[in-house]
Amino acid sequence: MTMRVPKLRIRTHQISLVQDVDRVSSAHRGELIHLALSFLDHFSGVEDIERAVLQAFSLQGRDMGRWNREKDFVSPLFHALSLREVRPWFEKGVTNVREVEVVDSRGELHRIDRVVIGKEVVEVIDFKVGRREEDHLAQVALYKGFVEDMFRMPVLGYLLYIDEPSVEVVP
Amino acid sequence: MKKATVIPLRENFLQRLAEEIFRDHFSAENPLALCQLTILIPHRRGAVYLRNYLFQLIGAKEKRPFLPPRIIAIEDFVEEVAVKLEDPPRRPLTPPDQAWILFEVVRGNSVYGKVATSWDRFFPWGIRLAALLEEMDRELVVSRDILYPEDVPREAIAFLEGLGGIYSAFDRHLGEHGFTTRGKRERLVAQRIEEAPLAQGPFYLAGFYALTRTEERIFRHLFARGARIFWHADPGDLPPLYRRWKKDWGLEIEASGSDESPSFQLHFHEAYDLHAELLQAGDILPEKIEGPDRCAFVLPDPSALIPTLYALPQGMPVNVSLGYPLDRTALFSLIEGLMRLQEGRNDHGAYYHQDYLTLIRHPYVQRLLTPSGKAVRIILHLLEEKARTYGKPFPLRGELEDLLSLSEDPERDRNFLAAEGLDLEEAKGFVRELHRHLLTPWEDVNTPVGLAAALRGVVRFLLSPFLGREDSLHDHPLENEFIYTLEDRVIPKEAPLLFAPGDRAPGPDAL
Repeated sequence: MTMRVPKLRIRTHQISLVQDVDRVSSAHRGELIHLALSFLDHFSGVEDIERAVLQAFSLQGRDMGRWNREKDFVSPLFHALSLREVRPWFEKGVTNVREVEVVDSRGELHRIDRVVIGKEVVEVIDFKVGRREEDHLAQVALYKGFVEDMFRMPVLGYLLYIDEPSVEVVP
Repeated sequence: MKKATVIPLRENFLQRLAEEIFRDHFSAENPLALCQLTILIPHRRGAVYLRNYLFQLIGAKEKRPFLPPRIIAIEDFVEEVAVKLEDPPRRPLTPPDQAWILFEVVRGNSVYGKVATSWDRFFPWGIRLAALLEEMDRELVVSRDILYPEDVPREAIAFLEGLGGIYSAFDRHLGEHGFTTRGKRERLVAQRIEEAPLAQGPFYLAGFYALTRTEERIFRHLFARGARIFWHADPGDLPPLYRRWKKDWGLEIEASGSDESPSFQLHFHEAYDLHAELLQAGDILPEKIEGPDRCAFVLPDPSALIPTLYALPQGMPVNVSLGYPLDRTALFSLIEGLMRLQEGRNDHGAYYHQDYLTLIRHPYVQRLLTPSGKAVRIILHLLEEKARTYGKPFPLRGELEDLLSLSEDPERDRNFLAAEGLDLEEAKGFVRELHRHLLTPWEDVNTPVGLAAALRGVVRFLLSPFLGREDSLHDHPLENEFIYTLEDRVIPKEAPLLFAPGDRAPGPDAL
């Protein structure tokens, strides 16, 4: 019987992940920022961001006392969304879908942070919190491929690094 | 026409629903058509299957990606809408925090305050009371006192007779401090659904049966906006609640799928115990399972889970959807052992020897390593031997640490330890380290924050030799998950409690 154990395919979480306090904290902040951005259909002032951040905390039931809301969330988001390249994605009336799920041709589920649908071009945007990592470009390139397959229109891909803040165009 | 679509019991409900969605909403030319749809379902799990059936209809055939509908459990839908209605958004409270607020509300009252003389005495009542208030919100009940309640415990009579006042004070307290509860959110959404910012696309209400009043009000609004209702039932013989729903809403019934009566073939196999059952199950299981919806093992209780996993054919992928009780895990027995050890201390702070021996025999402790990477079993074995020979019923922590030095035959002890490459100093150092992590932090725990810190310390200490190489724990396939759940789900729930900090410790004078 015991010979079978290693061959059981049970995928479990890596405990190391939850034992790294900084990593856990950073992951929670990332989740909250993504959630806040999902509440933002458009952005016309810092009060929109403040409300979205409050909504994110409320929906996740997280204790706000452990964070500096202004420094950790509102200010970085405000600066990122105020970038010249970013403003058009958050204008009122722009057709967009947020945290949209995509099922690929193998049945795998993906989630794109924001897709802005224009008349002649579709823009795929992925938000990143924290450092740049090698696989970010490949991730957006993959999403671009999905959107091209579905919309049959020219697609542009972008990475918005919230903490820098800066926009990286994905070729 | 006001109608509900009934998918007969012999049909796969979600598969049939996917076909309906595909037929009515999929458009190869408009990729946004499907994702504008919102499918409300009773529980989260159904989303995985429904999405998979849509994939079978769309993605697998066309070999291209698609945007599926928004499939969301009613619980998540309510939370999401409530957050948008609240101004400003509120912080949802857990049941223990609700109990704490209730404690603050009732303890000053001369009538029912008698049950609230201390937080620990009130806590179980507070949890029950909080659940009752939640139920009232879910059912849109107007709070009022229940006079002369019958067949309830003596302590509950006072609460029920003052229920109207308790509810109002609780509600006011939550409002003043920016708190809410799940039940309050349901009530809020039901009462203000007309002004709620809902998705513009069509809604499907799929698989609901017994509705709370809040759900009924929300669904009536969505139905008036064109939402479609899907039931899984025998169209010719609807169960009582569907009959009532049909009558109250004036619905017509439309069957979707084969209308024949269900003709399941049931086979009963006799077996005398779990092992015999699993042996037979192995024979009955098909060699190749076509999909996760084609074969289910429904277990009578969680104790059968681990033996079942061991009995499954090699390489079979398993999706375990059963909640496994923490109290059946080795991790729980360790935590329970640590708590018992503290509870069993005498007035001088000494430990009951039997509780201590139970701790050092625990498999998680036995598999630890010394700082130089040597197995500790032999140290613990020697320690137990010394405790039996030289120990006393209630040794102090320091006395336990000195035990290894006591010997009538030091040469024999040295040789014993040397067999594992250990010496006495390293062995004593390990025992001190063991106490520093497993005994000392628990000695002063008297708040949830302290408990959370002690629990986290235990998990980290016990896992430290395995960090980054958890695959080496493959002999215990679910242990990782138990530890992960404790660390990621249970411990974080303890720390942010309203009553968690030490300066708000139990007792009415603490505030």
